[in-house]
Amino acid sequence: MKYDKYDLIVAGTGPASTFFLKKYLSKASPSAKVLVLERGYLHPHSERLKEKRGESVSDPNLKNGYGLVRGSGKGWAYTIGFGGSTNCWFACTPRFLPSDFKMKTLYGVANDWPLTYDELEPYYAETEELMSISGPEQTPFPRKGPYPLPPHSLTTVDKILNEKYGNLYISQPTGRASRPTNGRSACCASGVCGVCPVNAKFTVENSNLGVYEDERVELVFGAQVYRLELQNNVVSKIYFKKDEKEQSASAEVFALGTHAVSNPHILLNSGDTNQLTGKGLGEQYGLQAVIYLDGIPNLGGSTWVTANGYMLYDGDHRKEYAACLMESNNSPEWMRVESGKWRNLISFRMVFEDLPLNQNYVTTTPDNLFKATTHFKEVSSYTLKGVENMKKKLPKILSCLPVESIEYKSPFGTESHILGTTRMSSNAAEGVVDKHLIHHQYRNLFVLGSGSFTTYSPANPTLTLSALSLHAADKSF
Amino acid sequence: MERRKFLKIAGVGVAAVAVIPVIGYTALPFNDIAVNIILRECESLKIARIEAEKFVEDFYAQVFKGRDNKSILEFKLKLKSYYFANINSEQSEMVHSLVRNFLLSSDFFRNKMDESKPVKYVYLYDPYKLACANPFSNIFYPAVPS
Repeated sequence: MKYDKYDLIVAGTGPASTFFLKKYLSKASPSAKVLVLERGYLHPHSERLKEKRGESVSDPNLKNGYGLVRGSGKGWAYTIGFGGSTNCWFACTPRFLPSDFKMKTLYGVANDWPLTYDELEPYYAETEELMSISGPEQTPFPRKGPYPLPPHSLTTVDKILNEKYGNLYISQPTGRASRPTNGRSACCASGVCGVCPVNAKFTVENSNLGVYEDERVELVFGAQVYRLELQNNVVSKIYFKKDEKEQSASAEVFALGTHAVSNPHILLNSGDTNQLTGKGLGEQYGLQAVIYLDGIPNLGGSTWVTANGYMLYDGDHRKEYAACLMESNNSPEWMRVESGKWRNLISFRMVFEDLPLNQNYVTTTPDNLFKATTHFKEVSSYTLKGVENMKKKLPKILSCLPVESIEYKSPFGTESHILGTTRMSSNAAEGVVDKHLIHHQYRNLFVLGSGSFTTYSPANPTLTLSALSLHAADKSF
Repeated sequence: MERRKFLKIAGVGVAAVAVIPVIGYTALPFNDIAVNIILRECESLKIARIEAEKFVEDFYAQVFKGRDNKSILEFKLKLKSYYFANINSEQSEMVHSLVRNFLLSSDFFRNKMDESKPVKYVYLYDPYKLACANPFSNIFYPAVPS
């Protein structure tokens, strides 16, 4: 390390850290000293694509670049390495609805976020600009002006639903570019977005944000953060393991931007006594609904998820059961083996919100400072009621289509999101961090990412967690 | 109409084996069975046997790459069971995957699902090696200006 003490030390290089740093660097002095500790390494897109093609790769660390925490109850997916989850995400970027931030006030469920949609709106717009998001003119959430890129093309069946439901059935806002932009190609619906074959989706690696190239930033790879030194309600040091050697570094301000299993694990290792640290481990709940159609082939979409349906999302029903967001899937694997009906179907991923439950949690592992233990007991009954309601209502919602039948697949094991383990709240009794993602007790510590989500909207989290990072840094520096 | 049900080997495999003459079950080469499945599932299409044979050879070379002998044997026994038990694409993901990959690897979708044209195996479908090949996308079905 270059210095004995830094102005800011950040753990992790995923979207939460990167957007936080982007804003911080725009406001910090030219002489600011920033240390970034990344547990993994840079695995270039070109190398990951070679691996997928079965070709030999020169990156010796590539095999260690992916992670799956298999805890009690279920597995939690994440990616270790430069860029974090942007290496594996599918780049779905719908905003939350304003009501998602006011679940208690509007529906008497869980808690309100300590900030509103309106407060976050400028940072949503800024994130969308920085990610070059493609999206439609009309959306169910308020936004000003057009998206940076035009929307992706809907399929023939999507168009019927869009005509009937208007802004409740839209071309999905996405980080999968609809036009070549900023060094990225246009998405062409290959359907394997984890490693995009044409590098069309936004990643930290292809972002051109200039964060890690900034001379004020010192980036250290292979550094696993595992503990903080907490003294008199202040963080004074961060401890990490690199090359099997335990080291530490000091700073004025710290930011944990790893992920929502690791962030609370680091806090608990450090002796954080907030009763909710690590509690509420959760995510959305999803299953596939395949709609078999008579006489209509589903063709012409220009990306992997072509549309989002909001017909089962918001309303007074959320007093009793969960919102559901529909994703229209354009993967070529969805086909029928029936003469004359090969593509006469539409496949929806039905994604439900869930509630934070304290019986689902992250904790430490005895005798192993470097490994978190996860416990997941159950999905909420609120969510399961939402699933049953969806099955009752979907036939009527789709009555504008010539539906032959609907098949529901088994629920997915995961939606590949990790939420809620350091929840945001207006006070320490109800959460871990405040509206600026600052720990209620340790006021020089930011805890970034989707662990801060107060409630678990069915909308994908990355856009929102990135906007929260911009907001936090903008308001705090 | 009842749709694909993903069957568990314990149920179907055992039931199928019980009714299948042992000699026929074991004697027919696995690749021949896979070809037979494709031709049976796509009986409305004009597929020369050689086209399915070329595909099956390439497809299972890729599927079995890096797998141990035990899991390959289990896989083959399972698909054989499905074949002799007349399990179709609607009932089995394993059967659906075989047929789906054949169709995606052929010129059938490029010919806009024209069932009157002979179906040829073109290349093994792999979106990482040949991107932008989703045959249902706007590249093949561009929007018609209204």
